[in-house]
Amino acid sequence: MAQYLTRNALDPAQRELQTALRAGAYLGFKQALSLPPQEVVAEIDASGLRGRGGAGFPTGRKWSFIHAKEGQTVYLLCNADESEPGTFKDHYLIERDPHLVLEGVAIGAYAIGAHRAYIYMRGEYASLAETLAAALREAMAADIIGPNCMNSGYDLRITIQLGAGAYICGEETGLIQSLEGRRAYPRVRPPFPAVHGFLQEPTVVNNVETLACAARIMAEGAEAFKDHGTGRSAGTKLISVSGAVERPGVYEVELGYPLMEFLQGEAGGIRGGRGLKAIIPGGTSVPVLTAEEAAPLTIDYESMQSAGTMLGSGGMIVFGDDTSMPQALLRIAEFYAHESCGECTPCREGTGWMAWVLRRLLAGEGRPGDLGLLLRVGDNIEGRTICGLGDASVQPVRSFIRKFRPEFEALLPEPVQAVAWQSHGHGPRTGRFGPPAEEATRSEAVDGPPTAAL
Amino acid sequence: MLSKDALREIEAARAEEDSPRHALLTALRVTQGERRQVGPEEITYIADLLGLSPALVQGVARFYDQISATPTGQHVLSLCRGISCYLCGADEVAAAVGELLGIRPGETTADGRFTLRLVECVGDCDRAPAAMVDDRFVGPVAAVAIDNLTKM
Amino acid sequence: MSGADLTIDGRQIEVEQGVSVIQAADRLGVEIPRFCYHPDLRPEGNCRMCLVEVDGFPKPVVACATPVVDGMVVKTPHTSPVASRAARGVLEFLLVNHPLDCPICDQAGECSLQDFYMHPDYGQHRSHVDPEEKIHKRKRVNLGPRIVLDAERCVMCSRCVRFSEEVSGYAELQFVRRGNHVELTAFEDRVLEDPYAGNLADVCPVGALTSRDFRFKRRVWHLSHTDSVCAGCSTGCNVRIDHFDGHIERVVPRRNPEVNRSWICDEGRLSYQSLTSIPRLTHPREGDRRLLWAEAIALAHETLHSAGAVTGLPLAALASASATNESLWLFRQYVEVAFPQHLLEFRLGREMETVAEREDKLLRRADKHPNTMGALHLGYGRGLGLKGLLDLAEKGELSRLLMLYYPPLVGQEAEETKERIAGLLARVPESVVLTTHELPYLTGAKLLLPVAAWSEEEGTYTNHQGVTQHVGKAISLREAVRPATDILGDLWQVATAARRETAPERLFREIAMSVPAFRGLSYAGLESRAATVYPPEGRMHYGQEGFAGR
Repeated sequence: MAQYLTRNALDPAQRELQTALRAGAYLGFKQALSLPPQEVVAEIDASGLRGRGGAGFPTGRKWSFIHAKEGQTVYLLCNADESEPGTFKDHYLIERDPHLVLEGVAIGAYAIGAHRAYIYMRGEYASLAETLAAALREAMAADIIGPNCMNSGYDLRITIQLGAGAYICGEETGLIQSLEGRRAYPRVRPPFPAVHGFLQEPTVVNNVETLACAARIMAEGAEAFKDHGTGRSAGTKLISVSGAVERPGVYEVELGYPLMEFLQGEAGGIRGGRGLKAIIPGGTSVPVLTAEEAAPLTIDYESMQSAGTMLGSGGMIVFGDDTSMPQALLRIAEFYAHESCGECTPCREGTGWMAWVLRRLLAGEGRPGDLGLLLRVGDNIEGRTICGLGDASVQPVRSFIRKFRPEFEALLPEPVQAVAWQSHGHGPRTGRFGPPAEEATRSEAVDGPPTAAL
Repeated sequence: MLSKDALREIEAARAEEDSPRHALLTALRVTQGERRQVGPEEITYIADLLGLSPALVQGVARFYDQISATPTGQHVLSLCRGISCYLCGADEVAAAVGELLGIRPGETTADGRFTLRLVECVGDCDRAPAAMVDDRFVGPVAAVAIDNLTKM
Repeated sequence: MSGADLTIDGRQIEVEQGVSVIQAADRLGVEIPRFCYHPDLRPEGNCRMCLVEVDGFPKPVVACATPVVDGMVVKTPHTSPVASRAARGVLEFLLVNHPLDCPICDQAGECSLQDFYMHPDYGQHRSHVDPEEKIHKRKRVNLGPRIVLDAERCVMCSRCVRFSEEVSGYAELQFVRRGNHVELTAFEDRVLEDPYAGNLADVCPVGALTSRDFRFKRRVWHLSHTDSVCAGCSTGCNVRIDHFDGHIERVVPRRNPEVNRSWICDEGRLSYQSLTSIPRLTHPREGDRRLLWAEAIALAHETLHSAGAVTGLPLAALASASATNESLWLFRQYVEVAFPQHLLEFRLGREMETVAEREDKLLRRADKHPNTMGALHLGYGRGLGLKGLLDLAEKGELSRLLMLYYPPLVGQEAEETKERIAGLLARVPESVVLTTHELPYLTGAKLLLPVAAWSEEEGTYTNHQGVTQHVGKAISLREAVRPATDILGDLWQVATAARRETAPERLFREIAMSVPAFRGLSYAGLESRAATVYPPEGRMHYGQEGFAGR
C-alpha cells in the first residue's frame, strides 16, 4: 500500500490547520504562488496526472484549455459530488485531510487564473461540508486562502456548495447547471466548459482526488509523483473497495499494483471465505470482470483497458460466488433509471426500459427475446446521449449478460411459452386505444424498493 | 416563512454571483431544512424571494431527491440500497427496519418522528449496509441495534 | 474568417462560420429529422433525433449543435446506415411511453413524431412495448384560454420551456421529476399569463400542447393555407391563414427573422375572430336602402361632386392606415384627380397613448394599424387629422367627405375616435364611407360601400421598420363586398371617363416607380419572399406544406 496522498490521513488531528501545517500542508500552494501560473500548469502536465474522477483525462492539458479574455471571470469547480456507486474515496479524503483538498483547489485555481472557486459536494456529504468549511475558515483566518493569499498578491475566494441529491450533478456540465440553479441537465458540447462554463465563463471542473494530487505534486515535484505508478499511469490511486470483502475501505495503491494481491491483501479477501465471482473495478459505470479475467490484471489505466474495462473512479465492487448476477444487475439498472436526469431521449427512455425488462425477467415474466432486447436497447443508448450517463448505464447490462449469460438464460421462459407469447405479440391488440391502464404502475416499481428484495 | 439565519444563508449565496438563480439550490436546501418540505407554498415564497417564476423553482425543486414535495418526519432515516450495500444485505435490513417502524419506504411514522427512505448509493460503502439519519452517517446498520436507530 | 465548404449526403454547400450542420442541411433542402431544434431557440440537443454521421468522428453527432467546419463530410439517415440506425433507435425510444392514439389526437397530420415514424429512413419499425406497460401522465390539463396540455404526448424536447424562458420571459412551463418520469407542468396548473402563449402550441412538435382555439375544429389535412401578414398592429408579423370552406380556422406565425422570427402575439393570432364577431356590411346602402353597385357608384360620384360644385369647399378624404398600400395609393390618386380642392388625411383610429399598455419589447406595438408607415410613404399625414377635420366641419367649412375606414382587428376602437367619426358624419351633409362592418358610429354616412376586409383581398403593408410585405387573400368575397381598389377604380372611371387598372400587382408597380420608399421592390418578389428566403424551419411536415427549405 502506498503512502503518498494519504500519508497524513490517519492522524485525526490532521483536520486542524496547525497539525496539517506541521505535516507540510500548503507548501505546494506556496511553491505554486512563487511561479507564474503557466509553469504550474507545465509542472502538472509533466507529472502525467490524469483526472481521478473516472474519465482519466490529463489534468495539465485540461488546465491549458483556459484562455480567458479581458473581463471574463474564470472559475475552478471542484467536483466533490462523488456519487458513482461503490466510490467513497473523496469522502475519505475530505473527512481525513481537508486541508490537502483545499490546497489542491487553491493550486488549480491559481494555475488557470481563477479567483473564484466552488467546491460542489453532494447533499449527502453535508456533514463533511462542515469539516471542510471549518478547515477553510482556519485557512482564511491564517491568510493562506483569501485576499492576498500568503502575501503573494493573489486573491482567491472558495465557496462550498451542497447539492440536494442527484447523481447527474457529478457530470461536469450537470454540476455547472446545478450550481447555476437549474435542473442539472448536462449541456451539449461544444461549447466546452473551458470556453462557456459556469455562468458562461471559462471553467475547469476537477475531481477532489485530482486536485489533492496536484497539491502533492507542487510540494514535491512532478518527478516524485512519477516515481509512483507506471509509465502512462503515473502516481497512486485511491481505491474504494466494497461489497463482498472482509475489509472494505479506501486504500491508496501504486498504479500497477496487482489486483489479486490487493484483493487478498488490503481488502482481506472475499467475505466469509467464499470464492470470487466478479469485480467491477471502477464504479458501476464500467464493465464487470469475471474472476478469471480479473486474475492477471494490475490496478492501472492500461491494464484495465486491455481487459475491456476501466479504472474509472476506483470504486471497486466485489461480488462473491453466492451473488445472483441478474439480481445485482437489476439493482444497478434501477440506479441508472432512477438517476437518469431525463433530458435526452435515449438515456431517459432506455435506462427505464432496461430496468423494466430486467424486473420482469426476475419476476418470472421474461419473454424469449428479452436478453437480445436488453442488448439492443443498450446499443441504441450508447454513443447517442448528451453525457456519459447513458453509456455508463449500458456497460453493466452488456457485460453482465455477456459474461454471466447462463444465469440470465435460466430466467427465460420455456420454448413452449415462447410460441404462446409470440402469437400474443402479433395478435390483435384490443384495448390499444382504450382507457389508460392502471396509473403509474411503473412509477412505483422504479421509486419503491426492489420488489424481489422486500 | 423562514428564520433570519435561513434568510441570511440564502442572501449569502445570492451575493456570490450576479445571477439570483444561483442562490436557488441553497434556498431549496435551507427551506427543506427548516420546513421539512418544499411544497407549493414554499415554492411561491422562494420564487418571490429570488425573483424567479414559481414554475422554474418547482422544476428545480422536483429534480432533487433530498427536496421533498410533502412534509417529512422530524428525522429522515435513509437506508442505502446501492449495489455495495445490496451485496451486504441492505434488502434484509430495509425489510427489518420497515417492519420495526411499521411503515413502508416513503412513509412517515404515525408519531411524525421518522420518514423512511430507500436511497441510492450514499458514498459510505465501507460501512455497508450504510444508512443516514438526517445528515449523519450511521452505518453499518447491521452492527448497531436497529432499535437504537429509532431512539435517536 | 471566411465561410466553410461542406458536403451533406454528397451535395456541397458553402456556409458562413458559426452555422450548424442542421442549418446547412436546411438550406440545401436535405431533411434531418428533429424535435428539439428550433431556429429561433437556443439549441439544446436533447432529442437526439438529428444524429448524423460525420467523417472522422467516432460516433454520430447531433446536427443541431455541431458547428460546421471547412471540409466536413456529413451523412444523414438518407445515406448513412449509422445515422439511420441512430434515428430509428431514438424514434423507438420516443415511442416507448408515447400513447398510440393518433386517431384521436388533434395533432395528427402535423405531428413530427407521426411524420418521422412514417418515413422509411427513420421509422416504420415494430414497437416492442405493450401499451399497457406505458407510463401514464396527466392529460387534458387546461392552462387557460389558449393552451391544453397532454403530458403523456410530450417528447420532452423543451421547445416550449425554452420559448417561455428565453423569448416571452414568463417561464410558466417547466419539467418536474427525472428519468422517464419527467413531466411537463405549469405550476399548480395556473392559467398561463403569457400574452404569447399561443406560440407554445406552435413550437410543440407533437400533441402535448395544443391550441384551445383550434382544438378539434378541423383536421389539419382539410385546411387550405394562405401566406399573409397580421393586420393587428404595425409590427406586421408574418402569418399563414389556415382556412376551410371560406372560414378562417386559425392563424399561425410564419418565420421571418427580420420581423417576427417565428412568433406572433395571442391578440394578433386571434384577431381574425373580430372579423366575424360583429355583422359585416354586405351591400352598398343609402340609409336603409340597399343599392346595386352600378347605382351605388353613380350615387357616390354624384354625392361627392354635386355639393362641392355648389359651395366650393374642399373635399375631405380620410383613409385608415389599415388599408393596403395599393388602396391608399389609388385613394390618393382618385382624390387628386377628381377633386382639385381636397384635404387628404389618414389614420383613423385609436390614439397611441390609449393603448400604450399593450406594447412590449417583443412584438406588440401600440399602433394597431398595420400600414402606418406605408401611408406616410404614400404622402398621407401632413394635415389635420380627424380632430382637425371635425373642427372644420363644426365651423361649416366641410360639406363633402370620402372615408375609407377599417375598425381595428385588435382591441376596440377608442370611444373618443368613435365620437369624432360620428360627429364628423353628422356635420358633413354629403358623405361616402367605404368600410367593412356595420358600425353604429358610421350610420350617419349618406352612402355606405362594403369593402373587403383583411384576408379577403391582397396587397401590401409596410410595417413600422419600413419592411413592405405581401398580404394574402384567403377568403372569397361574400354578398356584394368588393375590394376597395375595385370600388375606387370604378369611381375613377366615372370621374375621368378613363379605365383604371386596379389589380394590386399593377398598382404596386406604379407605386414602386413613383414613390422613393418603394423603389426597386417587385410585387412578385414580395409574394414569393417567405417561401424562398425564410424556410419554415420551426415546423416541418410532410403534408402539402412540404419540408423546410424545399
